Amino acid sequence: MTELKPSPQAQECFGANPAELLGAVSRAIYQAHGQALDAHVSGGLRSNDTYGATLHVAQYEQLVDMTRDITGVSIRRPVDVSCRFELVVLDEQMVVLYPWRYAVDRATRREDARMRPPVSELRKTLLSLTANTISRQLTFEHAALSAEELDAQFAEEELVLTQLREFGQVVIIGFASSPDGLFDLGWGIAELVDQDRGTVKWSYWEQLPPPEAGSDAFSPAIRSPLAQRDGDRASRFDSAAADDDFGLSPRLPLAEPPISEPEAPPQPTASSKPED
Amino acid sequence: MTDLPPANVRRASQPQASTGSVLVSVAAAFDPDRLTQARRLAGLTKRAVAEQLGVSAVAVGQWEAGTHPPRPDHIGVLAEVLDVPPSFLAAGRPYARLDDSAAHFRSLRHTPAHQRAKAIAFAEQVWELVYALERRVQLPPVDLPGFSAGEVSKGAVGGDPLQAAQTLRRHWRLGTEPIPRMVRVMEAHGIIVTLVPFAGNATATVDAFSTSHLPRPIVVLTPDRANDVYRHRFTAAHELAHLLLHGDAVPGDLLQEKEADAFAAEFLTPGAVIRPQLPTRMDLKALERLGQQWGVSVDSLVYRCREVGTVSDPAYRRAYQRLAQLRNLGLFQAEPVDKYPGEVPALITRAYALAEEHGLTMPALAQELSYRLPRLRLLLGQETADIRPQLRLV
Repeated sequence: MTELKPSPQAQECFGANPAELLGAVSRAIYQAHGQALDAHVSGGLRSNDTYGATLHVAQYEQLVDMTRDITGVSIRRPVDVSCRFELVVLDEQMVVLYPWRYAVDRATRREDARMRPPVSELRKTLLSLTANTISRQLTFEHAALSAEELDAQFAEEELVLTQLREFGQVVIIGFASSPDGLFDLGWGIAELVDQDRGTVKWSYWEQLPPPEAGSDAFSPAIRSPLAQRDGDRASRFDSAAADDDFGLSPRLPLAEPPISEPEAPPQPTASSKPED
Repeated sequence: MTDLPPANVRRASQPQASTGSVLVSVAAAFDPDRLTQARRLAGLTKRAVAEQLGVSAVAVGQWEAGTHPPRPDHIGVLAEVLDVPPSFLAAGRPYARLDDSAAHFRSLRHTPAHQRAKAIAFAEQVWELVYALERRVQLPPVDLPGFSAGEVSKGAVGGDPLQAAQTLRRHWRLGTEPIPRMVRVMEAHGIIVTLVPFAGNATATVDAFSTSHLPRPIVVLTPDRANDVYRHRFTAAHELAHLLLHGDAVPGDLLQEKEADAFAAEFLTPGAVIRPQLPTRMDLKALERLGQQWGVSVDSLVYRCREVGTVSDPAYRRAYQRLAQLRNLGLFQAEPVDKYPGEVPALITRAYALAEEHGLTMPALAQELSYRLPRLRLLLGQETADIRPQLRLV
């Protein structure tokens, strides 16, 4: 297949050796497109409904199938947000891959594409993980602040957003396709800036080349590890703990009621008091 | 100590078992409360039970109220519908009744009433099992200031959650260092902690709860939240606060919930010790490392940063909301509880293992408690799913 040369951004998102992963992603989307095309042809419909419905499912399934054997990849479904499909997660990089067919023709520019309203909770949540736009609209809270203090506060918010990316972000696997072909494929970072209209703002985009025909392009068997993140993890809170026992001891079975609380010290009685 | 069981623990005469007329003898010794308990464990309403038996809901209500006992043939069907042995419905076993209002639910607003009822019935069963094991194995005595015989006296640790946390740390000789094993330290002081999917797929709606109204305090943690060891530890400490401070449970009381959170934060990360270790400006990676050392989440340390004023309110809100969002998504959890042995309850399992070494068998214990074996395995933490062999048709 075409040799993928990792960009610095790709290394930041996917580790130092992202070629296999990105190759698998490319194979997955082309495979999904092929599946959808087969369904479209067999269905014999004049509309593209069969293509679209099949592709919707196949994009998730193929991404999972093509990447699940890559070391460092986990397959998970969101917990508290409804999602029919499993997603590809890179644990070390804290990145989740989310496929989005942003256009159904060659003409629509990616920058102009919108998510169809109403935007699902899943999309709202995932795309908020890449939010790096802070609102500079002043509120009553800002009334008492000087210009310098305001600047410092906004700078701090921007710093927080930058740092938060390391705790989890979404990478969009974006593509445009129809039964006429797969017109565009790449990965990027996007933010949902208008939830009501589904407007998306891209902060990064990188094209993915198609897999070469006749190669092992459709084989999911890839097992090279993704590069590890920084190894400066602090010592664990439980590292010093030894296994402890509870001081359990057998009792004469069924002899007496259990002793579940410490026995109270005996109260001195008249007869036990020392004589003066 | 007293030879008498606590007030809310009942005993009655043992029912006479007869191989020929088990149902007749169970009907004769019928215990209305056991029917209520079994129905709650099954998650059924009286009407649902009545429909399956072909009787009126009023009849089931009368059985549970004790005004009219069910006929022997009804006992058989009831046992089948509620998935308990017929003997479960008879009196004669120690039974600790827990009122609906006697438990603190972490997610009260999200927990449907029938799931709360099921959870309470589960806690009753946990106590029954512990009582049966305690007759054979000496467990750690309960060592919780102010707690005795299912009651918590006010004033033992004061009403302030921060002082209470500091007092309990001193009382349990934990110093001011990180607590390496939160769940284990609770068990070592006689508190029963469980982590089983007692309500199947619905367990998630219950989250966690605790009660100090039984002869031993019980904390029920749920496995769906166990994919995040830091949240799990905080929840355990939160429930510990309820046991210590809120003997008079006011379910869903926001003040009590806030107090429990404040206690948990202070208990896990004593303010006087953690504050000097916080970065002087927002540094989430530094907070992550500090969190790993103390066994707490980054967001709890972000909260600490806000307390000492090293981050502004907007930055705090931004970080807190995003971290909460990430936690709810559950996609990036890399610290599941099962990687931390000290956070997985072990007291009941080990107590049973010791009792087994001295002759107790699973069937004997199941018979004594009138539980089915899968139920007993679940309570012992030995079964998280149906392990019966599956028939496959090919």
